[in-house]
Amino acid sequence: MFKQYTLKVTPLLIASGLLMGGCATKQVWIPELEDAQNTYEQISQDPIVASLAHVELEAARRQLIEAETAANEFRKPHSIAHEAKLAKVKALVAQQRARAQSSNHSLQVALGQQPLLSEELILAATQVPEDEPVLAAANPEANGDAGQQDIAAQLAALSAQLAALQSQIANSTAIAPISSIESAAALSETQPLPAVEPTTAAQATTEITEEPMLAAAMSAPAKQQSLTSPAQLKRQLQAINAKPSNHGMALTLGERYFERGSARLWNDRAARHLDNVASVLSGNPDLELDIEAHTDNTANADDSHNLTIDRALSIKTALVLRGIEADRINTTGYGHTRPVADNATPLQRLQNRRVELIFPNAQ
Amino acid sequence: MKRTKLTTAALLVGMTIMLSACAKPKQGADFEHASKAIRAAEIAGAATYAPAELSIASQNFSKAQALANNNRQDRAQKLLQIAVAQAELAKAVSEADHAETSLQQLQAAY
Repeated sequence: MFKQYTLKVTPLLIASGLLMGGCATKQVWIPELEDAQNTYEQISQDPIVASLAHVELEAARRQLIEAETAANEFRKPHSIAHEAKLAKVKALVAQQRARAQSSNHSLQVALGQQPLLSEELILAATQVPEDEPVLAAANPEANGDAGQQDIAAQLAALSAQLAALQSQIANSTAIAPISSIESAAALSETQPLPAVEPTTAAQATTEITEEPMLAAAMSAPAKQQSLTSPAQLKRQLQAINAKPSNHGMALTLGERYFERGSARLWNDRAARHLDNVASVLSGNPDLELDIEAHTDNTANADDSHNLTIDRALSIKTALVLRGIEADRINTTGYGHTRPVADNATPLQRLQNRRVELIFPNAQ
Repeated sequence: MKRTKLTTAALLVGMTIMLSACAKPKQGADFEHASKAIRAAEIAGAATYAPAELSIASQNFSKAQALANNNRQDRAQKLLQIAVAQAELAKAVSEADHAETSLQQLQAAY
């Protein structure tokens, strides 16, 4: 009797187990949620946004929690995607608000009016946390084993590429910096990374962190052939937040992508932007890129030039590692010769410490 | 007994009417809020500085109106939320771009 009962119950148990298992694996991947998480993470790491637009950032955080809760509660994918989209847009609002605050403050100062922001707020916004990892590889606890190996391999390749590019700069006129800084470029090969102002800060007033809306569309088909029309190319560049400038479409990367006073890239911060730029470049084989690095006037002229040359090279190396031909990328370090703002205040110096990525043949 | 039933039915009808009356102003308020957000973005110069974001906001607003006319209030409300968020983004981008442009012009003038 008991055996018969067991025989009847066992298949039922198995069936219900399978059913429950089916339910457990029902959670689907929502790209919008991942997108929102990445965007929020990136923007919230920026001390300027955290200081100058904390209300908006908090709203974005709460919205992201809503989206994550919706995902954890297995709500319908379109409902999760909706909450995630709102979270992403709110994070972007925070970023833009900080940009506006920063520029308005500089404007007030330039006009000799009452500064918009207090000194404490500026100090908080321009301070880089001491304990932040320089590179992902330097913080093994934060990564899994696979991640570490991957990063270690990338670092090795990066070092090799950097050495190759530095020697290439010395020997080739094709990617030599402009004449005014040629001597500095030659000096930079053998010199260690210069020390700049010890309290160099993160920069967000002009930096770009928005996701490319067209990234997926732009990468795959364009790789095969360059059929992109000028209008399409412009849209692709606009999608990565490049804007028209006197020399072509250009986007500005803030200093926060580099270790303080050095040319070492913060991999985790820079990766997404570099992926986007590489995606556009690989999809448009005729497109060239001029990398122009600048800094403020706190260090002497030679050190400033060396630093900016090295930073431009770091970006180039990272793009070459992403499969972009080195001869399509020109690098120039301008030191502190081309400021976009006076170097009178911390925020203005922050604006001057930047790397401009210019696409000269895209208008 | 019959009287009680009639009273209950009348109460139910009354409550339904009251609830639907309550729902309408809320829907209207959502539209008004979104409309104000879009207007604020336009005033901030979004047509010049953030046309893409402003366009998304306007499109979502129009779609929400169409859906509300077809009694699809839930979906309309979601689109209005997106419209508001995009309008706020358009406004923020415009303010930031405007401030940066002004600063650059000022620096160029000196």
